[in-house]
Amino acid sequence: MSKYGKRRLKIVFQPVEGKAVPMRAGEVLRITQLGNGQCVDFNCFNLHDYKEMLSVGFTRMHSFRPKQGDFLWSNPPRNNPMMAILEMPPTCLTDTLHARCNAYLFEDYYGFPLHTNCQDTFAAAIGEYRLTPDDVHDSFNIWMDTGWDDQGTTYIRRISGRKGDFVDMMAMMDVLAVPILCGSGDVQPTAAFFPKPVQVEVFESSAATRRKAAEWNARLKLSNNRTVEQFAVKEILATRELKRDPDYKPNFVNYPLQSTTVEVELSEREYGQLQRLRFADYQGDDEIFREAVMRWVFRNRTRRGKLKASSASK
Amino acid sequence: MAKATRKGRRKIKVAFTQQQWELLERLKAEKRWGGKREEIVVGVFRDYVKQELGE
Repeated sequence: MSKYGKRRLKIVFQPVEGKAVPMRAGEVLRITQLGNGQCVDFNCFNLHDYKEMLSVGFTRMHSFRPKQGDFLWSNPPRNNPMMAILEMPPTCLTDTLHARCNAYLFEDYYGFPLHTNCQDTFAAAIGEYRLTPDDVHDSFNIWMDTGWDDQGTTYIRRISGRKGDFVDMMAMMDVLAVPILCGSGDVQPTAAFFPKPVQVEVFESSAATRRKAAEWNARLKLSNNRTVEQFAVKEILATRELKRDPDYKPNFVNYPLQSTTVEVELSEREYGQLQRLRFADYQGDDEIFREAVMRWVFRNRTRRGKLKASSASK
Repeated sequence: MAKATRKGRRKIKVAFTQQQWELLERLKAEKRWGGKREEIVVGVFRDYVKQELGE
């Protein structure tokens, strides 16, 4: 990536601080380890519409461990790239499984009446913009090495971050970026059992970063990046109690779904092959045939390669 | 269930949704699967068999 603009912000977060930082498209957030490993949790909002926010779920559909060259995506149906990961060292593993730690979890696990935690740190940080604790969302966890076993049990490995490691993420739209220090680090391997400070910097956009953001946004734009104007219900509720709208009529996509039947003719040999393909013991001949055809389409005619920021930059 | 026809050939009635047809009919442009829906799905089925069973 070409040079960024000049640095406009430099903060050192002490355990367990965080800050909501407005960023314009093309600006770059740099997060640097000042010790040997501290997990940083990250939330992100569209600066002009807070209902569009980071979707760890949709981001995870692209990669369980977003890394250099990947994007962080907003919630469906917006589906916009919010941040592009420009730089990330191999010692920075990322997590999209563990959501965010919270006070309930530490009370449940350890019996703490109140332990530092990411939910409360995020809430404290975004309160500056009048966002509530309910606006905190599952975080993209930077320098957090997690996995799961065959039984579905998740685990956290010892943090692999090193002093001086840094991660650069470029805003793809105007965002409120919220990096915070994870509050679990003194009782979990997320900071190797001792929380450490982290440096956060923001670099202004340059002609090169603005051009890249515009180019990647254009390449990733699809007709199904929905806007509020396209929503059947647009208004944000001003009350907390949910009430049914008796006049509401749902408009389901392509409903009712139509199907058309064709008659196909197979040779005796092909019919034998069809039987050998059987995917499940309950299947009739038509179900085996259809599944074979659709598996072929999925394998051979869908876009399996994902656009990477690194390849898009070439 | 398949219906036996001449010389051991089998006829099968298969339903595809409108969305599945949307994908399958794109194959017409490739000009190797035939132009009719029946031709396309049988062609694709044969290619899948080739990929899976090597036959």
